[in-house]
Amino acid sequence: MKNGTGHYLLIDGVNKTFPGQNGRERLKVLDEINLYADEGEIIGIVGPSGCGKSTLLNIIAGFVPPDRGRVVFCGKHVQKPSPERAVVFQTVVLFPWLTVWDNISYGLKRRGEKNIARLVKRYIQIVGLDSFEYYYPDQLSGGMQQRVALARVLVLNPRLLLMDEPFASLDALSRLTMQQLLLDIWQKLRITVLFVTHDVEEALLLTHRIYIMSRRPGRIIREIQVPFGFPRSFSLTGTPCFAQLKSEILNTLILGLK
Amino acid sequence: MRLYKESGTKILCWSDIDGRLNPLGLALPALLLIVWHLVTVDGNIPGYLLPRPMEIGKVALDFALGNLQLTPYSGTMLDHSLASISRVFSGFGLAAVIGLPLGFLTGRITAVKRTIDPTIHLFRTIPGIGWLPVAMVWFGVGERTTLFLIALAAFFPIYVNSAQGAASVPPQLIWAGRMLGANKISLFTTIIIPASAPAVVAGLRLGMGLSWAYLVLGELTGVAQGLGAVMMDARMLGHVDMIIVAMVCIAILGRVTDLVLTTMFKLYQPRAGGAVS
Ligand SMILES: Nc1ncnc2c1ncn2[C@@H]1O[C@H](COP(=O)(O)OP(=O)(O)OP(=O)(O)O)[C@@H](O)[C@H]1O
Ligand SMILES: [Mg+2]
Repeated sequence: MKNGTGHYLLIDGVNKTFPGQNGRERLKVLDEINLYADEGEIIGIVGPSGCGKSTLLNIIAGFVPPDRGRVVFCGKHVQKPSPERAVVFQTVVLFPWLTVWDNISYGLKRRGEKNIARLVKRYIQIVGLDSFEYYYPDQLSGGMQQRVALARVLVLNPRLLLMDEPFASLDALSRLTMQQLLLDIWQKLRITVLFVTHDVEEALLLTHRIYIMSRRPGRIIREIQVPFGFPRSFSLTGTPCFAQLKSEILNTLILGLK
Repeated sequence: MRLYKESGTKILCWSDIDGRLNPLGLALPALLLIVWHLVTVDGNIPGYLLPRPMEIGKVALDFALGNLQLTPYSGTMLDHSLASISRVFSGFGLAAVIGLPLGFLTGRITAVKRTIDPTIHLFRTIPGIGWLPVAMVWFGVGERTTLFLIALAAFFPIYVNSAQGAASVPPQLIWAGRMLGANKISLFTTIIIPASAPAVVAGLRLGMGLSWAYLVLGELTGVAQGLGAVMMDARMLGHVDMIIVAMVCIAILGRVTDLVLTTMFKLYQPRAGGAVS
């Protein structure tokens, strides 16, 4: 599994530019990104808005190719999307014409799965959406929609979960619930997660390691080991060590803005 | 129990989406009928220009049932209507069979768009009626000219709307589909088609409306049976009442075919939002 690279997921010298608008020069978005994740790790990526976090995740997912560099996952060069690298998007991307149930079973059907009903039921329960099976996405709150998006990919038993500021648009309380949900799910499944956020507390609460990015063109300017053990809970945020790490990261982020 | 907003704006019609009657929508036609009755009741406007509503009602009934023998068309409504409906369906069907695939191809594949889209838009600028003379030369008067005109007129809105709908499927929906394991074919059937369905149906409805318009134009050139033929024929015989009745028939049939389209769409996609009334 780790053949060739030694890491479960390896991002190796990834660069990305976009065509400039109105004949201006190309916009450099990602500059020599190197990072890795080992199996079962939750990795945080924090960085200022517009630094290329979503772009990086899209490259890892296989939606867009990098200009230079490569993404290696389980020893294989990533070139197109796959259900083993699941994505929860920054804005909720559900199929609005399908019910909660059909959204969650979508991937199972594509795979030709036999036990669809049992699996869908189980994951609806895990994300806490019982009795909302036949609702349509636009009849759900933002938090509930993000739960559907989570269940839709978890049900496929992915080997890597790519989450792009999944809780950023939620109110503080739903955000806490969702963070706790993610921690609970990780306790159960030990899935490898890449979690993009610009909320430093969220990164500290949820992850094993954090990569800090500079402003555009995004570079990795620092890597921080998060020393807290699991299982974690929200009470962690009150500890002095947490506060100290938080201010350290914020300082790095501010330096990265210059 | 419903959570949060009910999406999908309800566009009121004579009867509501849930089947309830909409009294406000009925008020205007009622008022029109009353005014029509009042201006014709005392004979100020001669009957050969504008017959009274009651007369029209009688002629319409006779046209349907043949019980009064009021006009030469007594009892022939079904035959004429069926002739017109089958022309509309053939012409519209032809337009859809060609327009939908071309529209989807143009919407999804840049090379196809660059190849055929400019030419199609060039032809689109020619008004439908402008094709009439040349159609009569090519196809003679009547049947085939009518089919040609309908198919041509309905093609453009079907093509343009399905192309636009297919082109504006959000890329993230397609990414999501691919990430969840869809291949080229299932991506098309499970994402691109449903996501562009509201625009496609809008195009089909416009096409259906035009089909009825061009049906009349084509039938005026001379067919044995059909509502357009009835209108042309009745004009020569001085039966204004019959012309009006035929117009009403076309209006009703047009509305019914539109309802068939929207109902089929609602069955296919119950939660499409406010795209369709
Ligand atoms: N398809 C595209 N074409 C051109 N420029 C793009 C495209 N996608 C992203 N960009 C540019 O790349 C830069 C990074 O965008 P990206 O969405 O990756 O930022 P981000 O770090 O996710 O920001 P945020 O935290 O606000 O979500 C932005 O300046 C954006 O304008
Ligand atoms: Mg982003």
